[in-house]
Amino acid sequence: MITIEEVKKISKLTKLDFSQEQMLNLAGELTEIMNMINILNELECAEIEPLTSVCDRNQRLRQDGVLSNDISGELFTNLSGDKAELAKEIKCFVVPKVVE
Amino acid sequence: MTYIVGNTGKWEYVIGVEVHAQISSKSKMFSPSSTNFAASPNSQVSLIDAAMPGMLPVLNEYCVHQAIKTGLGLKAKINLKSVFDRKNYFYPDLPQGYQISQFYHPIVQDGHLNISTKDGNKNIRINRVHLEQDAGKSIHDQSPCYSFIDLNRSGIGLMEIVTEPDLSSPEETAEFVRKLRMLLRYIGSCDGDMEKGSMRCDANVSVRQFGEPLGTRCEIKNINSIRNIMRAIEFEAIRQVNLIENGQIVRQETRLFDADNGETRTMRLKEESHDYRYFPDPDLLPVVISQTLVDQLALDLPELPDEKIKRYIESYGLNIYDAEVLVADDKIAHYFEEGADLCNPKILANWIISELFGQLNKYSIALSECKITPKMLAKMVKIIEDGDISGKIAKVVFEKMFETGREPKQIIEEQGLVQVSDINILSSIIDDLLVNNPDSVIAYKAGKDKLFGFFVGEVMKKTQGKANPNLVTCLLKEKLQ
Amino acid sequence: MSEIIKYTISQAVKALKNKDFSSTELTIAHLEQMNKHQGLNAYITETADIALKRAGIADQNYHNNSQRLLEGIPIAVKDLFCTKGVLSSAGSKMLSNFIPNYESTVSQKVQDHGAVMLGKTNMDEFAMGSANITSYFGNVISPWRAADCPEMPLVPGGSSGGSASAVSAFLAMAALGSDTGGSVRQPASFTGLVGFKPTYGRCSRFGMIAFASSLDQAGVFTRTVEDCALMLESMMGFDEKDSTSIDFDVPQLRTACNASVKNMKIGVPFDIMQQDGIQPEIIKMWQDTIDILKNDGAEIIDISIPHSKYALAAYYVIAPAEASSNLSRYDGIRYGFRAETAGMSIDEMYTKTRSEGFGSEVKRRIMIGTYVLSSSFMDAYYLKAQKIRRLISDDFRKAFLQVEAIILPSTPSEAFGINQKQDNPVTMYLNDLFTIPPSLAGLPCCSVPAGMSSNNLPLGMQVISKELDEYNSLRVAATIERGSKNISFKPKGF
Repeated sequence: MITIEEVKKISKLTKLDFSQEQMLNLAGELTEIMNMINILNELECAEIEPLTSVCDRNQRLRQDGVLSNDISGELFTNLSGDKAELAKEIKCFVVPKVVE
Repeated sequence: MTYIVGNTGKWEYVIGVEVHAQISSKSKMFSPSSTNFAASPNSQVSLIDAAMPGMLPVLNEYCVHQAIKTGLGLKAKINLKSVFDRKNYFYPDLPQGYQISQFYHPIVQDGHLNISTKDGNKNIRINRVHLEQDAGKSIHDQSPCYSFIDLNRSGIGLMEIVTEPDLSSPEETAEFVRKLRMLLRYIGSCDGDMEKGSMRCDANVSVRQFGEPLGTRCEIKNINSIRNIMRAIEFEAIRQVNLIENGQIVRQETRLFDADNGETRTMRLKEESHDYRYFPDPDLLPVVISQTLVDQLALDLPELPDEKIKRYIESYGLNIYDAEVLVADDKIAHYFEEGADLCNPKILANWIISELFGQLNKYSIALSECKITPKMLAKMVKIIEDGDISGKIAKVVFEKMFETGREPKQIIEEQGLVQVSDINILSSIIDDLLVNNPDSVIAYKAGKDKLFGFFVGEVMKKTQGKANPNLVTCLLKEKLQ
Repeated sequence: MSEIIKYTISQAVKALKNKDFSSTELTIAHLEQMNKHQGLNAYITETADIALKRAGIADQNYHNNSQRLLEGIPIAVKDLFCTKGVLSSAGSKMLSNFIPNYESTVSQKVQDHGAVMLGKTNMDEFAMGSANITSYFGNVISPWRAADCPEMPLVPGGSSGGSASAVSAFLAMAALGSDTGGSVRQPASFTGLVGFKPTYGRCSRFGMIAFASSLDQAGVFTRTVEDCALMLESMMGFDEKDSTSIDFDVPQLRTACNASVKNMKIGVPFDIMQQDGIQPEIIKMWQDTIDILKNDGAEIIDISIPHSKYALAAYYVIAPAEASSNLSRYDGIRYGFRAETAGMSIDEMYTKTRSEGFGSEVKRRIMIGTYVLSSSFMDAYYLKAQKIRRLISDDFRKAFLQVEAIILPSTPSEAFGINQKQDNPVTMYLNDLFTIPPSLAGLPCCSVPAGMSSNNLPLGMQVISKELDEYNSLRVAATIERGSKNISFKPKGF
């Protein structure tokens, strides 16, 4: 059973907002999904090695070298909102002030 | 042992550090954009660094090699298979919304670094060294309402070096960071420039009374110099002692060091998301390296600081302090070694440390721009050893060498600075002197010892300072009996 | 002239070489067909200008006899692929204004082979769905109608619903799609098309908007197996920009279409066939397919994928987990939708942007993904699912010691109505029951039309082969295609 509390906690972790009603629904839907997933508990699998990738290979290593140049002209073309112009001008991404 | 003396007794410091060292690669760890310390914002950002949709990471070989070499320098275990994990959290300077790091299977584990403390040698254990991406920079102070994000730094490869909580004082911690920095510079894996931010240090600090279990620790971030490491730890430890002695609890949290007032304070934003949900990055495959590669990289390592210090003490007869000073910078050590076989190495060391450093600092010149080559300096030292000039005259020669870059022999000849060591000449000068100053002679023989200096001074004046001081002293002593 | 849109790619290439018509004419005919059938909502963006320009170049190349493999062939590209200068939305409000200045490797490759892009097709948001009913740009409708209820619009399947609809309605000769848990095979089955998902790593994921990185693969929709082989040859290949890309030669695949399956050992998981709940028509199609293959000389062998019953659960842990992380970059800061009001804090901006930018199915999966990765549940779910994944992978490996291909249905049912199956998310997830096991194992699979339901709706058969063995899945698929050639897999009225 996924509770509303858990829904609240997860939604904070992943920066999603839901109304009270939506959270109630979500708790129900997620519970259904988890019920389906819980079939995994039928198997023990203690000795089995988890499979992260079907690729039976190792990470390829790239030679150290600079291939990408200054593309600051292209980085800001997909900005939306009223900060877009400011960002293009100062060539920095603009966000509401972060308080540490 | 260093203690804090509280109201209820003595308190130990229990300190561990996490050092983030930027790897000296030309390009970033997972993307081919430059790592240069750039002038204009967002000019070294690739589509991958900006986390554009559909972008994928490809691992830089150089970064892997540097981590291995660093691990070897720390006498650690190199894991032939390591895995990249995603550390998930939201922050504007983290474009992907996760950092590619190594959590479960780091590339290096279980090493150590020796430091010298006032209580002797101490072994600081290294828990791990792992590879991870650096984040971008957030600029908070240019506007009242906005923060600006520069992603130039985003994606630069870092080695995170984590110690066990083996450090027991602010000074020890400073010494550890200094030693580590020196090691990284020798290996060449990081330039260790804390001012530029290519090496950053977080400290985990807790306190306890003798025999008690470990206390709650706080992580201190935003420390950008060795001096501030000490200040931050000092403040934090005292803060914790005060809290506990006042019956309060130390909360486990991350705190920021404020260099202006020397205090630590709670960091608000990062407190919430502690569940990083680490899982293996599915865009990357396991990093598998061969023992052959590790052995090859081991051969490529230069002589490391501790070994060099040992060799300087044993082969050149230097004392530990001089050896440590020379070794601290591998360019200086190299300079020293170029001359050390051509003259008395102890005297050479002395000249480098007292005179050369002094001149370089005075005129703000780097060693690489210095006009005095090691061979020239060694020649000058040899000339002193041979007795052709005195130590005092040597200083004059040295300054001229520094200024003009001319050979010592040249300078000595041109300026006629050859030491006068001819006994007959000196005897004759002394005889003249004593004859012309009978009252002083009588006064000296009657007990006014200070007058000896006067006689020496006069001989020096007569010889424009070139008289061999030891001979003058000897002869004077003889003649004044 | 409008008949030329009914040509297969192979036929069209011959005709173009023969100067029966020009690429420009072929493209214009498709643009007209697209105009006629706007109601299907198959396309999000139509790129007539680009298409005509490339068709012009194709005509030049035919004139100079320097034509490439797919010269002048009009195709559609799923909006999951980043296409330079053209909106690439992933079916989401979050990217509804995103115009990349880079091109995905796969779409670049087909372009380099001469293909003409007609437009970007509609899809389930961020590739999450099996009915194409979660797109920000509205539902896609299948050109097919059920015989017993022709007024009811049907789903084309998902997430590549737009691509499927486009090819089956002759709005394109082929379409790029993506397949993570069945997003090419299932819609292919629903719309009477050939749908192929290559071995994981065969096609580059560079420039493909990521959903579940360890499962995503570019795939393709065509009307014949031969066309499929052609498309695959142009799409597959090593890309150094993708760390999971396979460095292996792309084989010549067209000859697979004429190869007989005589003496080939083909596996059937009879234990699945005997399970409850599979529609009788599906079973019939399965049995008919077995007969076709036996008639051509294949040996049918009973095999088992014992852990396949856990596949759905494992997939719905792994895919949402990876997706929850892949979608963290959508925060409005550097691109995409941004919800910001004056005085908002950064946290509020993150939350509002993501809450408004993502649709409900995407949010549901992000929540599940975050949940199963959270520290308390990591071992129980994520790690466990990865272990099951290994078991399933091993099951297939063992089976392939005995056989060279495995056949099972692509879907548990025919296409359903757009408003059906919406009560419970799990009901929707069951659409992927048969396609998920080979996805988890990263195996190549082909869905080929193999039967019709009593409602005159197409049913597809899935052919799974060994890693890197696209050749054999095409070979078996082609045989099934030949054996079903008396069935017309064209929707009524098209």
